[in-house]
Amino acid sequence: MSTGHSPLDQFKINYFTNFQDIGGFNLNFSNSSLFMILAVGLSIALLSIGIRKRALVPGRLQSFTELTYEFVANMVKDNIGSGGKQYFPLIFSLFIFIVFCNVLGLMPYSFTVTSHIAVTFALSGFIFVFVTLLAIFKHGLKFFGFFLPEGTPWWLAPLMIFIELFAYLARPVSLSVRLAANMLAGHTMLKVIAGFVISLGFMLGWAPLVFLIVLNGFELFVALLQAYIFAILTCVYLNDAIHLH
Amino acid sequence: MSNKDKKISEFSELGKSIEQAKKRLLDKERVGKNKPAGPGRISIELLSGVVVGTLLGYYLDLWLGTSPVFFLICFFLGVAGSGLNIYKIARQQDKNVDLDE
Repeated sequence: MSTGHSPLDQFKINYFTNFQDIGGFNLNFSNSSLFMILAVGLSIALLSIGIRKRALVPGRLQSFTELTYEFVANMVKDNIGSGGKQYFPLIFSLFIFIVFCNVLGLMPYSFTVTSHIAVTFALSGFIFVFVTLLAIFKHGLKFFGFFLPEGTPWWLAPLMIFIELFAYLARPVSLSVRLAANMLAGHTMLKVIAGFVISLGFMLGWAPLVFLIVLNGFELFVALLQAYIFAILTCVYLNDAIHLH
Repeated sequence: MSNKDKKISEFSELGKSIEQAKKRLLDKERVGKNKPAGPGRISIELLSGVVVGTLLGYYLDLWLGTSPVFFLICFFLGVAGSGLNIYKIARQQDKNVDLDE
């Protein structure tokens, strides 16, 4: 305990149980799992308790629930069009899960689930596979016409196909890395500035403290914004799969 | 009587097809209008294209056992792919600015 605490200690996975690997997988219950369960539980509670009263003129909680629903519904409608109504549950679950995971990470002593690329790449990899399979099943072999934009000259076509393929494959990576990097960088900065507060002591420590307060507000904004960007890019990729083929 | 009923059903069908055409037109002009990009989106796209290219090239080389031919080819293709993504994003942002006036 004499060594200093690194600001990256907050991202360490701690296991609460201790059993053997099942089928080669480590299925112990970790702090990551705990906060994922908490995020899901809170989102279910928000939505179910929020609409329980069913008042015609909504109170605060019901209004909040309705606003969230309408926000995501408008996002889906604006980006996928009227054919996108069936994908609304997917986008809404994704958005609410990421919002709650990000915001819960800002509570003291908590763990940010989405700061691990394992988690965000699982989400974005699933989205990518789903969108690709949807496009293949919907358009058949014409899906591969997506990689050759109109108007390319014939001698540029083979190279263009490969470049478009790589650009398409870069989508899940950029989606996952954006969320993970933003969460990782934000929380690391919070810890580092908090370290400055303690190390500068009583006389000078108020300056980084003020900055820390502002940074917390900024991190809350970034948490919501990154969830929004994830959801809206998923809508854009769904739109590409459904329409522009 | 049946003549009037036929006219009514024709008009209701016409109304339905007008509704569908309106919805299609609204969809076409609404979809793809805003696509906001957060801060640092372009840098992340640049990075991820290169990462995908190098990883793909490296594992292709490992799998096929060739000299770093595939690694180099896929690296440059990855760079080109990320450049293509950035070009599309920048063009979309240009279009957004023009519409706002």
